[in-house]
Amino acid sequence: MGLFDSLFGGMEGGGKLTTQEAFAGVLVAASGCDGHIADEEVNNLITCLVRMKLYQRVNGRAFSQILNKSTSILKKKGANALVDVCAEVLPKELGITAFANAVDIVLADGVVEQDERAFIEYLAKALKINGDTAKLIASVMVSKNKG
Amino acid sequence: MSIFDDVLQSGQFEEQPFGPHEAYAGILLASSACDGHIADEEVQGLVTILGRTRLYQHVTPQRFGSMIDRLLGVLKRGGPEQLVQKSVPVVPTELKETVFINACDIVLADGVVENDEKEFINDLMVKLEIPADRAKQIIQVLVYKNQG
Repeated sequence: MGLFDSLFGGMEGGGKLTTQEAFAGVLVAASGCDGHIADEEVNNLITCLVRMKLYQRVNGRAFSQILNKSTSILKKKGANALVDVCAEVLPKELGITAFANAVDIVLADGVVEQDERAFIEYLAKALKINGDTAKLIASVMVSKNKG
Repeated sequence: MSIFDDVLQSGQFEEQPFGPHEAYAGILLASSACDGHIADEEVQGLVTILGRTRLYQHVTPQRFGSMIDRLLGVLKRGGPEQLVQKSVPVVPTELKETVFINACDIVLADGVVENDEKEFINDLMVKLEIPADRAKQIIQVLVYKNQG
C-alpha cells in the first residue's frame, strides 16, 4: 500500500465512466488509434460531440473534463484499453452511433493505415456490432470521405 | 438598352458556369438551406467540412471565399432548387455518391427531418442517379451516425 493511498482515495480517475465519457472516449480512441491526435482531429471531435443531444446540458468546463479523462486513459493504456472501458458502459443503441462516428473520424484523412484498420475491427467486436452492419457502415463512410 | 451594353462586350462580367468545386459545395450549401433558412453557424460548419475535402486542397482561401459568396448569391436569388439544378450536371461521376452522403449527413445532423428535407433528399437522389436501394442503406447508416 502506498503512503498516500488513504489521502488520495477520493481523487483517483478510476471507476466506471459515464455514458457521456464513454461515447467521447470511443471517438478519442478513434482519433488517437494511429498513435497521435492532430489539432484538426480534436476540432473535428469537438464539432461532432457538441451538436449531440447527449452533451446538450454539458458546459464548457465539464466538457473538457470529459475529454481529459479519455485522453489520459488513451495516453496511459492505449486505444484498445480505452475502447474496453467505454464499451462496458455504452448502451447498445449508442454503441452503433459511436461506431459510425468513429469510422468517419478514422477515414477523414482519406488514408487508412494498418493500425487504423485493426482498430476498427477491434471496436466493432468490443461494441458487439454485427458483421454485416459494420461492413455497411464502413462502405458508406469510405464513400463519404472520398471527396 | 442598358448603360452596361456598350462597356461590357467582352463577356468578362457574365456569369460563368459552375465547375466541380462550385457543384460539390453548391449541393452541400443547398442541403443546409433546404429547410428554408441557413444560419451563419451552418455556413461556418459547411466551410469546415469543405476545408478538409481534398477537392479544395489547392484552392486559395481567397478563391474559396469568393466561391462561397457566389453560391450564397445563387441561393438567395433562386433558392436551393436552382443551386442543385446548376450543380448536379457538373458533379464528377465518382463524387456523386460522396456528395449525396455528405448532403444527407448535413440534413440529418440536427436529429430531426422535416418534410421539405425529406423531399429535398428524395429529389437529390433522383437527380444524382443514386439507386434507391443504395440510398436507403446510406440513410440507414447516417441515421445511426446522427441519433445520439
